Amino acid sequence: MNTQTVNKHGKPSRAPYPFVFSKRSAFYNHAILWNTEPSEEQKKSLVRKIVTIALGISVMILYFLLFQYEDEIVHLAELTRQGQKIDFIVPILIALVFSLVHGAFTENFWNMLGLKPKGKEMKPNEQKE
Amino acid sequence: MEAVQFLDLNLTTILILFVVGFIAGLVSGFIGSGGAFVLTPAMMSLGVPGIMAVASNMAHKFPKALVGSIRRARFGQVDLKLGLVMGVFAEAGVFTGKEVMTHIRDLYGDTGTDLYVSVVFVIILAIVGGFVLWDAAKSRKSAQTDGQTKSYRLAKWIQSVNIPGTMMYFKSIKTRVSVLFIIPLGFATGMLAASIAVGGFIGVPALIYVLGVPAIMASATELVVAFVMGMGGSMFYAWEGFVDIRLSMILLAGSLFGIQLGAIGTTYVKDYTIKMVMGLIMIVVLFSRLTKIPVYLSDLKAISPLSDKTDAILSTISFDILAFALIMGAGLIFFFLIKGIVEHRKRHEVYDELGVSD
Repeated sequence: MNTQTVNKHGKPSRAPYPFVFSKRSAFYNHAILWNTEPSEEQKKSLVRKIVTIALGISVMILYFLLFQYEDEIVHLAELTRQGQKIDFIVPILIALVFSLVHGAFTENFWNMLGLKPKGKEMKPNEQKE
Repeated sequence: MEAVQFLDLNLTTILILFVVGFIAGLVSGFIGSGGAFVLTPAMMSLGVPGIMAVASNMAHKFPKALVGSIRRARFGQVDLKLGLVMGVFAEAGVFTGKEVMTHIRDLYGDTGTDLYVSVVFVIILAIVGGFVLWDAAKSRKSAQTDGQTKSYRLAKWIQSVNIPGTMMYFKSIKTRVSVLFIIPLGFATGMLAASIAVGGFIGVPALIYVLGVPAIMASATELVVAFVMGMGGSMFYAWEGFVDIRLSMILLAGSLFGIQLGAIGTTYVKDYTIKMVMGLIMIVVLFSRLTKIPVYLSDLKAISPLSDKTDAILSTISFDILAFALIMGAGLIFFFLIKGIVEHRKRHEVYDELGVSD
């Protein structure tokens, strides 16, 4: 079943407005996936969604751990002040790990909602394939 | 070592930090930096001690700058070499800036440093912000008439100077420039970052007007400079045990959503729009600091003392203007982002009908 709509010239039409309601939104692709044989692009989109969700879960685990062990982390900072200088590396490492995982998640998150940079948006000719 | 208390976190505090982080990230992603200046006063108003607020702000800025620069590097907007070279000299500026601040504090106390920071803020923002706004208006006009971005006389001259042994090629400038010109720019950026926490207010305009880097690449390259500076500064504060990494990571949670959105925004706007938003934010922030100057002068007994009521009113107005600058910046970015996307999609609609691609 082909759910793609076309304009009067037979070209695939495109919704002018927003992201989640657009033709290429997560929900729309999902509907297509359940009804038809998925195309390469739809498969890629599904993989991207799974990666985003996995990253989202990782971020949640990281933040859960941060607050689970907040007393220990605060204590480490106090120990650094008292002279146990090697602990200074802990907040720096936490910052780097969180930024890489959460950074990857937020990037995919906006992509999943259809908010993509201008240069990367699909061109009409690619859509036909 | 004096006792510096860690804040007890509750849901409200976490939510406030997350939202402020998001808005600050949005502005930073769009103009290269400048969102973080509101975070230190915001944390202090939640009860975080000053030095810990500065430290935790910095520890959230460097990972944020890392993520932002990786993202914008994918759009081809980052000149890594230029960012690293400038970052190293900026680091030297940060440490000198800290020394200056410590010296002023020894001489005149905390109010002295506050006054110094405010005066630096007002002077720099008036000159740079005014110039950026004037230039944005001018390049908007010329973009409408000839559709080109012009290069600046100073940048042209600097690009033409050849000092043997110091020349380096930078892809953003598309030519060789002497490192001797980059040293003072990096140093000034670092000095400003140490004093008012927003080095980008000098860094970005310096890259644009002095070196001739296009505005979009300048704001992206500044993120690399901010990363190098912030990482050094954070290590320094972490060494002293002043970083509350819980606060930093909550700010980061919000600001990464913002910075990604801001970075996407830059791909939908023209060069002069970034300059305009940057200039407007600078001018509004200027008024925030200007309002505080009488309070500091009165504390230092340089003018006749203000009543407690006037003091409180001026402080509130100052913070409100700061918040307004950030919200206005975020509003403008949303406006341009949505406008850009709608126009882009409409254009594609026409292309679809004509059967062409852009």
